[in-house]
Amino acid sequence: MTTLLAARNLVAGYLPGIDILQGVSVDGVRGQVRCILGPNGTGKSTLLKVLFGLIPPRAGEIHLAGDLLRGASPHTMGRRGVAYLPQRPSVFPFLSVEVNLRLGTWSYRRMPGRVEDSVQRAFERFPILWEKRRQPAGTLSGGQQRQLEVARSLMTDPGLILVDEPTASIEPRVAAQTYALIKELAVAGKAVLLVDQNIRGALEIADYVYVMRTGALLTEGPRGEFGGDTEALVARWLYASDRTAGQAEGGH
Amino acid sequence: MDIFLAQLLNALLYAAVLFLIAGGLSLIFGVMRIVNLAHGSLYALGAYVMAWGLGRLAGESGSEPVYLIALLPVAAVAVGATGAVVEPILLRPLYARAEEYQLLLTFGLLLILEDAMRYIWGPTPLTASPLWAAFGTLHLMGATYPRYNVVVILLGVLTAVLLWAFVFKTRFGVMLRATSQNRRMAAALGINVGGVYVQAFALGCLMAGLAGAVIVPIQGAVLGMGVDALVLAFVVVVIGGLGSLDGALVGALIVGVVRTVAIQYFPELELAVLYLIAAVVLITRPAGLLGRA
Repeated sequence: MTTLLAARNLVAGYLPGIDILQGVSVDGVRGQVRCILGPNGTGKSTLLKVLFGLIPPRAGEIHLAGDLLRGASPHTMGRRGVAYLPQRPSVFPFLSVEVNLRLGTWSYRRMPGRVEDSVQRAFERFPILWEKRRQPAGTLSGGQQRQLEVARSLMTDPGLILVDEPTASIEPRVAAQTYALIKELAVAGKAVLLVDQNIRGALEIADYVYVMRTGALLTEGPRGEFGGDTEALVARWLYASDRTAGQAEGGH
Repeated sequence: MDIFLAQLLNALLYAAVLFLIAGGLSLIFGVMRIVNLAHGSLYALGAYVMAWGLGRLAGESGSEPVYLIALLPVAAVAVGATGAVVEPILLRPLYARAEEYQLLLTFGLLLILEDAMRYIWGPTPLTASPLWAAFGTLHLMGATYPRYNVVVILLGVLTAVLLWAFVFKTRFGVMLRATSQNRRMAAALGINVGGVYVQAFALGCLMAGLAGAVIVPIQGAVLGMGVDALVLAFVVVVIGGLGSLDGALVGALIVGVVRTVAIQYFPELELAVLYLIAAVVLITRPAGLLGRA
């Protein structure tokens, strides 16, 4: 197990003077799904955006494969083997499924052999995408669009995958498939950081859990430490009395 | 019969020029979500550069058709280059702000460019009609028609085909469309979105410059031509759908035909009819005939 990503004491926000993240540290470890839980508006999605270079951190450090990153942009992160699956549907709706998939190979587009290779492998792994390869991606069902997004993000063979709310607004059966797919990625040796509101679904595949509240980590630990009735446990932490929360966050 | 043919060609001529202007406007909006009000002045700039270049090249003496081939790229590229400078310096700092700022900026640019042209070339219109005359006339099916006008129609068709191939058949086109459909994801996949913006804006401006350059031998370069063209280009994109290239083509054809018919039969209502069509489209199909809601 190697730690691919180490983020330390990240501070970030959108508006001047307002920090959404108030010093968060997380790790991305190969072979593990690490999930970040917490109620709405705690900065979980912001954390992923900072890790992917979409928002510059105001303080803190991000180490990727041992290197300290400075001012990384999304496309440098992509080139360094980080993939990002945003919460909202991110397929290009009017481009065909195949073109969507091929856009995943953009960073090595001048290596046609490798491009064809990865496109073929993606179609083998996701036969439904091969079947619908000529359709505009916007005509796929929600679950198929998720498959396309995952397939596209795998085209660069990333080491670390940042997943934001993969099952929001998706029917339960498809959600189970999506979680299984994410678990597979970790089993195949990738590091996965998963942000989720669906506590039950996320915990089922998690190896390690971070619990966030109002911009800071409330608690963290291996999945096993959370005991049997994890959902109740996490819920208790999340909605714990302000006194407890205040201590954990270092006070307001 | 001959009147009908001449009027049909007039409609196509008008549609060709309108497509060049509105196509550029639509391309810029489609990729960048910017309504470029300066587009009118960029069209006028193309006309002025063409007329000025022709004056330098041919002097007071006659003009040769070959000058068109020599000067058209110069005028179009000059306007495209203006766009390539304007986007990163003036527009880029405003992307994070509300849309109103972009409208204010491009409107200000419209006025500034017009004043700059007044300063450089003076208030007197420039003419390039010797070039138009140099092409002579064409006799077909009993009608006599200026050969230059046919050249403009063919140029319009050629540009439409090239643009279509460019957007739908090249890797750069995929990049344009991906950026237009989901800018953030395009960036996440490694597409240099900043570069796409400069190129799309410059290409749109280049089309405006080309439109100004081809029209100037027919009607001359006049201050105020930019605003007139901008208004009509908006009618075209409202009808066709802002951001859609097919829409710009269909809208230009509709406006071209309607305007030609109107001028023939009820000239005093020409603009009113166009606005009426635009209003009907806005009410029944707010995104335009071929636009995506």
